[in-house]
Amino acid sequence: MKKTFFLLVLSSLILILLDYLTYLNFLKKPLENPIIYVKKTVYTKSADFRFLPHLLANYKSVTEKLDSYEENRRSLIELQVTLDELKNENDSLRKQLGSPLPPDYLFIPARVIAWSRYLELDIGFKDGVREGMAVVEGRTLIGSVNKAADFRSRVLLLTDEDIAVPAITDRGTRGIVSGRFNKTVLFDQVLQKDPLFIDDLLLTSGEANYPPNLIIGKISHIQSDDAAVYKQATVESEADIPLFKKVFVVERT
Amino acid sequence: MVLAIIIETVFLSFPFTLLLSMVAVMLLGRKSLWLVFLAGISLDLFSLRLLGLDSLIFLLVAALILRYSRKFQLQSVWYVLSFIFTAVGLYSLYFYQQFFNLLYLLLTLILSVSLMYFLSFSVNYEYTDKKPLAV
Repeated sequence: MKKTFFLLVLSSLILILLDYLTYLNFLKKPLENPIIYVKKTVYTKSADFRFLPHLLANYKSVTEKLDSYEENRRSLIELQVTLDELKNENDSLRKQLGSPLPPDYLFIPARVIAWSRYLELDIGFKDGVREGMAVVEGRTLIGSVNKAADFRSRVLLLTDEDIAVPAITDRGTRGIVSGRFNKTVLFDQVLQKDPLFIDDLLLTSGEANYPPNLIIGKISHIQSDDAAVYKQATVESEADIPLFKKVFVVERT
Repeated sequence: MVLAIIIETVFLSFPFTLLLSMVAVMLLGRKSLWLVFLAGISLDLFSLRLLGLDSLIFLLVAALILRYSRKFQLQSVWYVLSFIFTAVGLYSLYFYQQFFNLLYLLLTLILSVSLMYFLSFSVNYEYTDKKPLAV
């Protein structure tokens, strides 16, 4: 029996080494598609179930949000009419100029297939996803790709300790956004002399492969110690991850 | 086990597979080593980790359980519970960055107690090939 144990431990160590040296990719490739299929199916089917604890835990804020959404919906309808008019005007002007504006960034659409510590997407290396690319939903930053297999990729979220996003507030205060215990988002390394207030909007500064002006969230709590070099703030993230089905991976062209 | 791997890697960052592996070792003893190894490999494949990493961890946990099998055999609830909590806590902290999450602590407690209850009714469970001490 001891032989079996040592044989299995040895096999595990050999597998780790071979996988680290990427010699096992030929074995993993055929398994990618069935895994993606299973994960996608389960993730889609479990949407209501996943949202239930979130709803129960945040019932009050969800109802408040619903009210504000209803107000926003009404004003959006009015805006939509104006937007349509402006869009038509813009299209005709572009045609007239004959020069469609080149986008600075390429957006690769992806479906979310899992969300535990990381967010997992159904696109990978073969679709042009590389490690370090930013992942967004609308103008909101969700995180960055930290591992890309051939057909799927893993996204490091803003709540993760391993992420470091250079950020700037709407007052011009700079710092680094990182996570803590997969729960909270922190705005760290802010100089004591720099102004920082609750409800300040936090955006990406455009450094470290992140596109500029992506929304990260709002400052909700400030921890300041006069003896420390830096001050720190908790950020209320704008990303509502349980609701995400489709996101975009951003590539700088 | 398959369901545990799917739940763990799709939407709930809780080490169900580790918990089930520990129970499998307590129930089946050394016979469960292959099962634990395969569960680890499957979890690695599903969670995009280095292949073999989880199987190695599960095997080391299994080795600890088998090494101290007599203490488990005495059915000391606190001993088994503290072992499960430590293993699940360390694993969650390292892989899922979960630290003192009340929901997960409750989940660990409920799952371990129910599985231990199941254990106590299991007649054929064995931790080791050695015969138990006659008192």
